[in-house]
Amino acid sequence: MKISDLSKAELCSRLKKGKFCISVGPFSFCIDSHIEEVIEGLGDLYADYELRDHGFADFHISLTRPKGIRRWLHPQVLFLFDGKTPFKPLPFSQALPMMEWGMNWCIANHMHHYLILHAAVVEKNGQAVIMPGNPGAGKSTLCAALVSRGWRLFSDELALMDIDEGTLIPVTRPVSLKNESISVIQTFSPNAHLGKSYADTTKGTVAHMRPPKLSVEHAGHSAKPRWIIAPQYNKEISSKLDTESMAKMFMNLAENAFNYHIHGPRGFDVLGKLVEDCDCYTYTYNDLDKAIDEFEQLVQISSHH
Amino acid sequence: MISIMSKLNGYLLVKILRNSDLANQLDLKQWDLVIRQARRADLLPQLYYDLNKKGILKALPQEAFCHLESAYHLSVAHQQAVRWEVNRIQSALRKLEVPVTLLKGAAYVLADLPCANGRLFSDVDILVPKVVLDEAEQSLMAHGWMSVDTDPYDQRYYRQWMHELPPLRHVKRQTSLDVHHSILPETARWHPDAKKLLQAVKPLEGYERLYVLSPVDMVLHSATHLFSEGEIDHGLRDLYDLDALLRDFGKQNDFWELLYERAREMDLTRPLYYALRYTQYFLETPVPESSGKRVTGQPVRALRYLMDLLFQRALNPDHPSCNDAFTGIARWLLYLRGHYLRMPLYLLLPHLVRKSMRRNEV
Amino acid sequence: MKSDTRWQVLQGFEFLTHGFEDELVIYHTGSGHTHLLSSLQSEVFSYLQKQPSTLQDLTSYLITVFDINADSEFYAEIEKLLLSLYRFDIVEHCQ
Repeated sequence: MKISDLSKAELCSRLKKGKFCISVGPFSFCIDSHIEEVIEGLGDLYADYELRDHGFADFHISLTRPKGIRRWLHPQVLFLFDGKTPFKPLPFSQALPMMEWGMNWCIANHMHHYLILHAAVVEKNGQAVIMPGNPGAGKSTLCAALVSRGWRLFSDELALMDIDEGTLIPVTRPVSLKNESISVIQTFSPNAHLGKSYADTTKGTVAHMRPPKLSVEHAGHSAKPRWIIAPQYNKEISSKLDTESMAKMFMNLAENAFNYHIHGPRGFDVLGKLVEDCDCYTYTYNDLDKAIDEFEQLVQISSHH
Repeated sequence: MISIMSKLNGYLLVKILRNSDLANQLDLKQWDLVIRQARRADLLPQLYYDLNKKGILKALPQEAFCHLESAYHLSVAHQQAVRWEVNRIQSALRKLEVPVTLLKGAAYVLADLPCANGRLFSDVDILVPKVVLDEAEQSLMAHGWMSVDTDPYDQRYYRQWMHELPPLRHVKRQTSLDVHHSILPETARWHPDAKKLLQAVKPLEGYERLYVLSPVDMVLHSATHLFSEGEIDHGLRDLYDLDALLRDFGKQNDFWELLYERAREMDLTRPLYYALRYTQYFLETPVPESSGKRVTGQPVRALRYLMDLLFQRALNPDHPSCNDAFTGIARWLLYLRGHYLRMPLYLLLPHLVRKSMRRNEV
Repeated sequence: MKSDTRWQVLQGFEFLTHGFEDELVIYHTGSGHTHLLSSLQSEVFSYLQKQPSTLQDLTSYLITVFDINADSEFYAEIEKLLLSLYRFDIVEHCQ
């Protein structure tokens, strides 16, 4: 049964009773909340996700109002992981972004059987692109654009790697867009389904793009990485693809990974193999149409070899 | 009254720790609970090791296995970090030419003890002779460690009344270091002689001027730490360590004799009593029958009964599934007890008042 | 830095390396840190792995290998380089 099959009342009831469990890629989240924003946001952005019922969840999370004065005076929202708060509360209006950040935190801090890089991942023709990037580099915008043009979304933030197989695992979730990217994507892809915008967060204004139905449905299919392309948005340059040295790309990935340091020598080997097996580029751009073309070309060239 | 020892009940995690074969019988719903309890108790990696030893890891449902494997990787990384931290501490204190004794987790790792497996660390504890404390502090600070708390009251609290320097943190690595000169404050109810501890330390082979406590002292230290602390947030984990130490050292000839003798010598019979009582209760630690005669340190029946009520609750994982209506009060009373054991009343009352005022400020 | 100070690669921990064309990435099994070494840093690292050395001897060796004119600027550069490797905990003074 999908979330979209639930009536609003059923959705509400499940969330309030902590009986709302969904599959997100290889993970399961059991979510508990009375907060209207969260209920609506889940119903909207996770419409195509499957409900789960079998009593085991990887993560038990909750979004709730704090007790005491912060319930009314400058109201706040708390994120709880199995009953404990790993971070400080946020303004109540940011309940949904907090849930999204909290879900990232859960995965990045507890799933060390994967190597988890800070990168977006999209896939076409069975080949995946890893797009590492610091916040502000434009990887989420590029990711959202590619996904709107038929690329399969794995993640806009967490590149999950199966260490033994060397494959990437989808953790399909809404794409998080910030500030100008929101209007850019709305213009670029009028059919893209964007949720509410949340202003004044620590990252500016944030909104979420619902992942395409096909991406959600194929979340169980892994892919081998073929390219590592570090995007960088640049006002002056419309589209420029440059090869990057493997060593520099290695350091880029290692420094931006969530749990590379936990994997020690094994992580070092795996990352070394990854940059050797992939073509490494930096991509400077400001034109999304040209970006799509550039990426499509890479796939075409690859298919001919 | 039913003997406490026969009430071999326990929450799911405790049952599995006692008998890891039971893991084969768990359904997914039970695994969901065990994992959450173990994570809260900081025992998730140890579960991995226990089940691996029994050869039943691969037969577990994939959903459960992932969590155990993840915790295992984390614990390996922690071990690497502790070894490095000890190396840096050694390097910083090299010129002093004094023995540095590792305590607790760091000692277990460097001495390759069974309870090192799966341990997660938040800090490193070392013991140095009191006479070199100032020099040691200076050397450490010259190598990048800084006092965390600059509040003058807290500084005095540690230096004057406690058995350690105020906690240090390394500026680059952000790791925590506690430098002790004894295992209990001078103001405490029990009075173990630090000099005797230092006389009995064992050198770590392959490491210059690095030591660990003797086996009996290691057990006594672990017992003292657990049963004189106010905030018991890792009670079950500490019991697990004690259980592992006792099972391992217990194989040595005369260990139990020496343990009781040493406890008497060091005025630590009471914490040892509790350690043996509750490791047996929770984890069925094998304590030799004959040693029953030598059980000194036993509190009067009323106190025993009260401590059972408190510890049988507070030593469980601090997880909603392991709490009953009285767990909160039990923890609070033990918190008071911890302070009472460490400081005389005339110091304790103003200290508690000050602490509670601080809490409200934050 | 005293002229008779001898340097060596940190003892007690293994270093894993991965060579990519002419760059070297090194993993320190002690600190857990990963570093990208320039070709000059790699050369210094390899040399000290074989035997401890003073700054003087090291500089003489590098001058030969890279066929450079010996001058005080180069000497100062190598001193700085050694200090950078020291900060990475890759090298240490000999005991």
